[in-house]
Amino acid sequence: MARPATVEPTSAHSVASTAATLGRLALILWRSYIVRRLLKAALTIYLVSTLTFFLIRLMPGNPVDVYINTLISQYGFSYQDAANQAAALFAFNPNEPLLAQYRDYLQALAHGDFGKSITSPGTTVTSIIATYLPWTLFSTGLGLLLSFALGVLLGMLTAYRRERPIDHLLTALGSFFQSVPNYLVAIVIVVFFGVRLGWFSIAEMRGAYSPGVQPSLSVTFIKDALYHASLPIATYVLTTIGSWLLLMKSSTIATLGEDFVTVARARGLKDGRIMSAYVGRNAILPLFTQAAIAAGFVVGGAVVIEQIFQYQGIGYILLQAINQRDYPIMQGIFLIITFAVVLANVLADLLYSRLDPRIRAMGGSQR
Amino acid sequence: MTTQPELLAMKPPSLGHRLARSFRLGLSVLWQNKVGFLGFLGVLFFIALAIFGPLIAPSSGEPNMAQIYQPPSWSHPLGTDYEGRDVLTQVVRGGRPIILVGALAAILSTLIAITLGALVAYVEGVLDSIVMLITDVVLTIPQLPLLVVLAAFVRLNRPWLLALILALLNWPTLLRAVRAQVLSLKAREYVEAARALDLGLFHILFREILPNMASYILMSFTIGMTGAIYGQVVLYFLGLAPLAGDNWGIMLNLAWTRGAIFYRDSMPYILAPVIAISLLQLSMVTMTRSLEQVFNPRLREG
Amino acid sequence: MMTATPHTQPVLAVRDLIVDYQTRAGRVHAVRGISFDLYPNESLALIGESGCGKSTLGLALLRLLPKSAETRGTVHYRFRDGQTTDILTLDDDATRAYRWKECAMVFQGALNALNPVLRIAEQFWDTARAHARLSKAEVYDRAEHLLRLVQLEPGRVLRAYPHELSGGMRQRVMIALSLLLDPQVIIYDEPTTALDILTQRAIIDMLRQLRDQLGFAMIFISHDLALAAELADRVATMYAGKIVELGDVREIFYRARHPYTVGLLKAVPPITGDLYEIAAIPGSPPGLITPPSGCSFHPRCPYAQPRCSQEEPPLYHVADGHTSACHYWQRVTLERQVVEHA
Repeated sequence: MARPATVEPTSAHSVASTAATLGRLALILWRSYIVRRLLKAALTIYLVSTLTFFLIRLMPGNPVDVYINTLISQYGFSYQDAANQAAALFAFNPNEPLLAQYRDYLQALAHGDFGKSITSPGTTVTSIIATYLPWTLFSTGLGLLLSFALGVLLGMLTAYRRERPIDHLLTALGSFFQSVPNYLVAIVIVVFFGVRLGWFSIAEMRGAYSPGVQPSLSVTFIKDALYHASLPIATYVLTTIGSWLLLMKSSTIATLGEDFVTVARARGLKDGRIMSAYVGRNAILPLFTQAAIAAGFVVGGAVVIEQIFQYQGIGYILLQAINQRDYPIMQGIFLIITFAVVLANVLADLLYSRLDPRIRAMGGSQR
Repeated sequence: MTTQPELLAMKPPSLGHRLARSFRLGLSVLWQNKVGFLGFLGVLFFIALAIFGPLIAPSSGEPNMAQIYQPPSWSHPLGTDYEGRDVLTQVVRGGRPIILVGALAAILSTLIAITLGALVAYVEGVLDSIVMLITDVVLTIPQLPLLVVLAAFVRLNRPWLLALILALLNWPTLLRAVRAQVLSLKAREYVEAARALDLGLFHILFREILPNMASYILMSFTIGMTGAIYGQVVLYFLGLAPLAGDNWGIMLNLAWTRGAIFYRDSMPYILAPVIAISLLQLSMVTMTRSLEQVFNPRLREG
Repeated sequence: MMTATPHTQPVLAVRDLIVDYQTRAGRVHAVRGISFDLYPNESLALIGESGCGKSTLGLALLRLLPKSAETRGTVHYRFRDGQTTDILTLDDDATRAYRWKECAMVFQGALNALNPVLRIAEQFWDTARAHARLSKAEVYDRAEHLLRLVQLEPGRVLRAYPHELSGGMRQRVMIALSLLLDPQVIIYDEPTTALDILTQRAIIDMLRQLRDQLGFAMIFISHDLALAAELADRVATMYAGKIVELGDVREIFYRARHPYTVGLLKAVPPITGDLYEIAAIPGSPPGLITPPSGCSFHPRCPYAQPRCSQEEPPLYHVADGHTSACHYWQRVTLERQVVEHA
């Protein structure tokens, strides 16, 4: 039997209690490091998207107007038709007032619509990104991993062999390659080692993979891809290994001075165990935030390197788009690169908080 | 018991006095750190080159198509370029534009970082939160793509425009560092004393806090300049900055695009600007690093 | 309380131990010729002010000094099977085997003595694994037993990370860990410093109990003479890198024969009343790069004579098992003027 419906007064009391519960919930959520971090990331993405939007729309000689003018003057479009064409390409409608365009833009972005290419009509920016981004991720990702792993190992080595010749040598080399701009290293590799000394054939190594080889997961393809990516990877490793080495060296030296290392020796633990689980694991912790930041910028840093080695990744395409004034692609790639940085930063922060039990316990760092 | 005239005579050291003292201190410790001193000498050399280079070599000469890509010889110690002009002359001349614009960009970014950073650190509150948020966001944006995209929109035919764009990339890191430093200095006694004496915001900022950050400011400047030079050369190399003139970046661009990489004899043409830029960057970085060790004794190897 | 009988062999026999450090300021003579014996199941206290070299001595007995330190002399250790060896001559592997299994050390202020990224259980396992082939179950069983001995709850503690435990708990974990391999000698360096009063009391009682139960020999290093009264069988006072007095605990407390020991005793406020005057020892301990000539205590000594600044005193025989490094030990008396409370 149904209960008689009771009228529940929406009194101030129940509103207040709901507000209080929500408030408490918000406080609990706020205390959670993860939530704070994600919110900040979302805010950054939003702000950058907005920035890009206004950059493109409001800059003198902004591309939309230029495009429309070109269509009108060179191709005899009417303003309306030109505007409609622009609307399709730039993922928003120039006919509408600014704020409405902004809303459309954000909506399109949320759906992953970055517009269409001007120079390759019919191709969406998203598809272009999808084709070339993996190559950049592949080469720079491998470069970062290798550089980090080698740098950390060498850093520990130089810390253990402090003040010995190997320390001085590695530290000097690392610092040297750190200071010289990375594109100059790339140029020297091409010019000196490639052309002058003929150690490898530059022409052959152009591109992300050899023409005629089909992208697949076969061993041939992977080998080919690695061959083409080897020079960019070598450049990344050479020019970034120094920082990991120096960071790990100072971190290891600091850790070696900690009490628990002395106690570990007193407990009769083997040197190998102390080096890995006691010194290594503790020394490497601070490096992860750095690695996070580096991972984020890894995508952006590829711009010049890919140009020099003619490696068709996202950086190469960005430059191409710039030279061809293909603004939708430019905007799309720029946004994607920035999102990648934000994402990488968040992931790494979360990773770090999981790895260091002390931070895990505090419910997130007190930064 | 001190008398009035004696009290007046006991003035605190002037700004110039304090700067001179820090300068002398910096020099003496640099001398102790040989590598850093070498870097310092290198920087001095390049500054001299920037000032006197174009005076020694007033012009790059006329194109001489019969002398393209000549190997090094007595008349052309570094060979010739794609138009037959002497490479050495261009190298000597080519530093000034880059260094000037680099310095200008560094001044701009250091100015922004210092005034905004110090102000925000001192005043704190909402202004601080807003500025820090903006800084964080800008820091997240990858610099090279931003630089490259901006260059596409803005016609960089004026040097100060170029400097401005470069400065835009550097200020967030510097601002953060400055802010942190000011925050720590704020807690010191003499600042407390100044506040108690109600000496006013600008007085405290400019006469108490900032002079003690002279070293910091110097380092921010050199770091900013290193970044600005890096960015400049990228823009010239990629053809995103106007190729008028013959600075090192333009030399790189021309050498690369005009096929210098394919001839063995033209190796000096492309390597000369590479080495020049590398040496400049190296000198700046080594000098900065030893300055860092000077001003932050904890970094010194035990 | 064990007293040395002619039939008991010492488990640790230190002879003329010298430790020098090379520092920027000069060569520091941290330990300047120390000799003593430690008998099984006995408790020896090493008392001295900071900077007298007592911690260095502890580290030297485990060969944990940094490479810049030079150690000379002999430290003979007697294994359970009767064999003796000079541990200062052991190679790396043998040293590693000796550490913790034969002689363990609990350091001062265990706040950072444990690896922050490993759970307590893993640290027990690490230690056991480095010395013997045991199964995890065996090790954890023993760990549980030991943790109960130090009055900790094994379930909670074993699963925890070091930072999740309080300072006192971490100190107890270290004590439990030191017992893991059943060593013959355990060295405690300032076991109660950096702990609050209540925890200090608990730790002292616990240490006494443990020794009674398990029968290991104990050296504890402290500046606190009162602690010696609680825990020690024999007391050695150290000054400027040397032992200046050594004897049975009662002898030392009631019939001290070295001015420094007397000074230390006088400085301990009595419970029953007040002292007429603050009985600190004037002056401060000497730097160990250039120690004073002759007897290193002479600049601060109320009994000093010209001979003291010229001739270094050996350890004179005062009574059975009681020695004192003072030329004029016969004149040294302990007089405390206490104003009794009502």
